[in-house]
Amino acid sequence: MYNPILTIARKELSTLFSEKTLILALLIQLFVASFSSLLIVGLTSLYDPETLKGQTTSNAEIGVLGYQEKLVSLMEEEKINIHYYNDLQRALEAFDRGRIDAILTIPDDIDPGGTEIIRLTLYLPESDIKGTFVVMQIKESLSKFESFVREKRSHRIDFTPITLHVEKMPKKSAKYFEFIYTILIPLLVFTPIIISGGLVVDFITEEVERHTIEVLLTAPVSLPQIIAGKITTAIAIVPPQVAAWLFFLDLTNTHVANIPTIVLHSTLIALTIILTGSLIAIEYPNRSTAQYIYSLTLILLFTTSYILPDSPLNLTTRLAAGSIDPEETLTHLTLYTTIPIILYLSLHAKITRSNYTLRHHISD
Amino acid sequence: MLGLIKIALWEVRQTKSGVDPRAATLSLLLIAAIAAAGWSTSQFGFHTGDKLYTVAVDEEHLAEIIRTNPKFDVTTGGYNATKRFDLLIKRGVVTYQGDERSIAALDALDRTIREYDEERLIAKNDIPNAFPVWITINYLPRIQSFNLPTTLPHEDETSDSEDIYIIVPQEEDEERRATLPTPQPIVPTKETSRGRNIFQFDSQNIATPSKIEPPLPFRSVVLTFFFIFPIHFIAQFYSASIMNERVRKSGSLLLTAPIRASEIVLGKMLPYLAITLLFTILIGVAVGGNHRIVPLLLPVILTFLSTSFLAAVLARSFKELTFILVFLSVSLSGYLFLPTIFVNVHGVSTISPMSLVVELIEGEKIKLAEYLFATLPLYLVSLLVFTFGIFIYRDEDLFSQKSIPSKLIDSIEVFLTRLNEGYFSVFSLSALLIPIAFIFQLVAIVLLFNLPIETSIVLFVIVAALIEEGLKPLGIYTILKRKPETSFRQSAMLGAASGLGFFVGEKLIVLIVLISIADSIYGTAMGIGLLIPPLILHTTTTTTSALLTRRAGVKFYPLAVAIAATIHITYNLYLLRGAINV
Repeated sequence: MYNPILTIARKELSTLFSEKTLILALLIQLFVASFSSLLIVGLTSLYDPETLKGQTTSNAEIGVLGYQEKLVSLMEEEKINIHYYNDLQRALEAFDRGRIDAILTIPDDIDPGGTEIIRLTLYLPESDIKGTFVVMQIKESLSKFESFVREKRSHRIDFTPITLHVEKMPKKSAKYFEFIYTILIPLLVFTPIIISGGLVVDFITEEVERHTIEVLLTAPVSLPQIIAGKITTAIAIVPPQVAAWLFFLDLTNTHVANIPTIVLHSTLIALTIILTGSLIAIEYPNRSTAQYIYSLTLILLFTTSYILPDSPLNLTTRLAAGSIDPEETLTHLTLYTTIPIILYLSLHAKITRSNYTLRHHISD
Repeated sequence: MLGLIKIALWEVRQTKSGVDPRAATLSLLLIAAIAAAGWSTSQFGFHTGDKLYTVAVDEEHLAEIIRTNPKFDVTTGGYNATKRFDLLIKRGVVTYQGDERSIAALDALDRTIREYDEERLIAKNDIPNAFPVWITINYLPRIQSFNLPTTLPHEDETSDSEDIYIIVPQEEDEERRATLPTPQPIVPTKETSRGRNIFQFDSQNIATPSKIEPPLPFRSVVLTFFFIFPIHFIAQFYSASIMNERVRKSGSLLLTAPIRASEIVLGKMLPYLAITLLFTILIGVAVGGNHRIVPLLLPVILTFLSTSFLAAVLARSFKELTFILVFLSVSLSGYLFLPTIFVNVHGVSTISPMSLVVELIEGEKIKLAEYLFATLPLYLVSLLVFTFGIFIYRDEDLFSQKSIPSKLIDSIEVFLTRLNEGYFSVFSLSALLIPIAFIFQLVAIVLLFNLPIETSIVLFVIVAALIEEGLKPLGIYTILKRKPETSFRQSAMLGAASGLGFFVGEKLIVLIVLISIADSIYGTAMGIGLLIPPLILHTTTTTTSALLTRRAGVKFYPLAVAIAATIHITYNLYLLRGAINV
C-alpha cells in the first residue's frame, strides 16, 4: 500500500543515515554528557558548594592567631589541623609557602556571654580549590561556635531553635542526587528533543530554498502530507535516543525510575517542539531566519520553564527520581498531549488554506 | 583589496534588503520576553526539583515550615500508611528510608530548618544577640603553578631524579605584600550578609558563619556565556550567507567575476566581524571591562567565523550544516568555558582566552606570554581553516555533493599542487597541521583534566598519539590516492619529510608559546623538551604509516595510523614510566 507520508519520512530518514547526521547528533549529545559528567565535581560544587565536603581527603591546615577555647575545640572536633602563630607576618609567610591554606585571627577580648559582636578575620587563597575545601571544613565549626554564643545570649532575645531528632544518622551520603536528577537527566532527555526541532526546520526550509518543493508537489502528494512526513521522521528518532541515554545511566548505577513513562513524556514534548519548529519554518521559509527564531523560542521556553513550579523539565526529574504518583503523572501527560494537538490543528489549518503557497517572503 | 571592500559592501546591502521585517519584530519581542523571564528567575529564583521529596508530618506548624522549601511535597494529618514517604516526622522524630532520595531529602530538611531559623533571627532585629559572630574574609592571591596538585612532591623533599616533577619557585613578591588588605573593623549591616551580585568583583566580604560562601567560579562561567552567545549567533548568519551562495548558485556568478576567492570569502566575513566586535565591546563595557577585551576575544571570534565558513563549504545539506555548526559550537564553547572554571586555581586555565577576560575584568595584568599562549593557537587555527577553506571555494567543490572527507582531501591536494607535490609540500603541510593537532590535544587535556591523574596521563598519551599520527601522513595519503604508482623509496622519503616537518613545526610552536606549559607533566607527554628522540620518533612513525599505506592501499590508512600510533604510544609511555609506574 502506498502511503505518501511514510514515503517522505523514509526518504528523510535515509538521508539522515547516509549523511551520517545522526552520528554527529549522538556525538554532540556525548559531548554534552561527558562535559557534565567530567565536571560533576566542578559543576556540582557550583550548584551546591557544600557537596565538596565529602571530597576532602586530607585535613585543612589552618593558621590561627589568638585563642578561644570553645572555638578551638570545635575546630579540633572537625579534625582541622591548627598551627598557632604570634603575628600575621609569620602566618602569611607560611601561607605563601603552602604550609597552611587559611589564616583565622581571633581577637583577645571575646566574651561569649557579652553584648558585643564577635569579629573574626579569615584569610583565604583567592578562588583556589583549596580555599573551597578550607571553607567547607571551617564553616561547620564557625556555625557551631555561633550557635554556642547565640545560646549564651538567647535569654535576651527569647529564641529557641527548632529541633528535630534523627534516630541514627545515615552513613551514606547522597550529595550528587539533586545534580543528577534535576540537571543531568533533564539535560540528556531534552537534547535529542532540541536537535529534532532544529532538524525539522532544516527539512522544510531546504525544500523551499532549493525549490524542490515545487517538484515534489507535482507528484501525487499534498503539502500537508509532505510536512507530516518530515515531522514523522523528526519525532521517530527521539524515543530511541532518550531510551538509550536512560538505560545507559541505569547501567552506571544511577537508578532511573519510570523509563517508559519518561520516554512517552519526552516524545510528547518533542512533538510540541517539532510542531513549533514546523510552524516557524512555514512562517519564515528562509533557513537562517527560521533557525534564529527557533533558537530564540527555545531559549524563551527554557527560561520560562524555570519560572513554573511544574514544568516538563521538573516532570522528568520527578519521574526519574520516582517521586510522583501515577494519577498526577496522568494529569500532566494529558496536558502535554493537548498542546501538540492544538499546534497540529493550527498548522494544518494554515497550510490547507485555499490560497496558501509555501514561498519565500523575501526576494531571492 | 578593493575587491574585498566591494564584496563587504555588497554583503551589507544584500543582507539589509533580505531582512524580513516581521521576523525582525518577532525576534525583538522574543528577546524582550527572554529578558523578562530571565529577570523574573533572578528575582524569584529557579524552580528545579519542586516536589522532589515526599514527607509526612504530624504537626501543622512543622508542615508550614517545611513547605517553605518547594522541593518538599508535604502531607499532614491522617496520611495513608501504605504510601511510601521519603521522610516521616512524628513527635519531632524523623524517620527516613535507606535509599539515596531519602538521604538527600534529609539533607534538604536540615537546610530548610536552618534557613527558617535564620529568617526568624533576622526578624528579631538584634544583631549582637541574634548574629553574634561575624567573619571578615580576605582573599589573598597565591602563586599558581602548572603542577597538578596530586603529583606535587612535598616542598621539603629533595626530588632530583625526575625532571617532570618541577617545583615552582616561590618568588618573593614584595609588591603584593604592600597591597595586602589590612583587616578593618566594619560594622555589619544586613545587606552585606544577603544577596550577592555576580558582577561584584571585590575580593573582601563580611558574613555570618552560615553565609560564608566558598570562592566559586560562577562569574567566569556566566561571563563566558554572555560573550559566546552573540559570537555564535552572528557566525551562524555568516555561514548561512555562504551556504546561500551555494544553494542559490549565485556563488557561481561571483566566481566568474575577476575577484579572487579569498576576497569573496573574507569580504563577506568583514561585516559579520565588525558587528561581532561591536557587540563584544558593548558587552565588555557592560560587565566592567574596557577596550582591551578586544584583542583577547578577536581570536575567539575569528575561530568561530572561520569554522562556520568551513562548515558552510563542506556541508551537503542544511541539516548537515546545522549539525556541524552545533558540534563546533559545543566543542569550542567547551574549550573556552571549561578551563575558566580553574581560573586562579591552575595554570591550565590560561589555555582559554576567556580566563584572561575574567582576569582582565578582575583588574589583573596580563603578561604577553599568557596572551600568546591563550590566543596564538586560535589565531593559527582560524588562519589555517580560512586558507584551506578558500582552496575549495571553487565550482567543483561548492556545487557538488562530495562527502566531507573528500572535500577536505581536495583542499589538501590544492595545497600540495601549489607546492609541486614534492617533499617540501608534505614537509610544509605537516608543519602547518601542528596548530590543529595542538588544539585537539588541548581539548583532550581539558577533557581529561578531571580524571585521576594516572588514568588521565595514559589516556592523554593514547589520544595525543592518535591525533598526531592521524594528521602527519595526510599529505602522503593524498598523493598516494592520486598516484598509486609512487615508488617504495619515494614513499619512504615522503614519510621522512612529513615527520621532519611535524618535528620542525612542533619546535617552533614550543619556542613561541609552550614555555609555560612545557615544564608540566602534560608537556612531557606532548614530547616537548627533548630534541633527537622526537625527531627520530616522528620520522619513523610517519615513514611506517607511509610505507604501510603504499603497500596495503589507501583503504588501509586507518590501520597504518593505528600501527604508527602504537609505536608512538609505546615511546611516550616509556618516557613517562617514572610518573605512572608501568
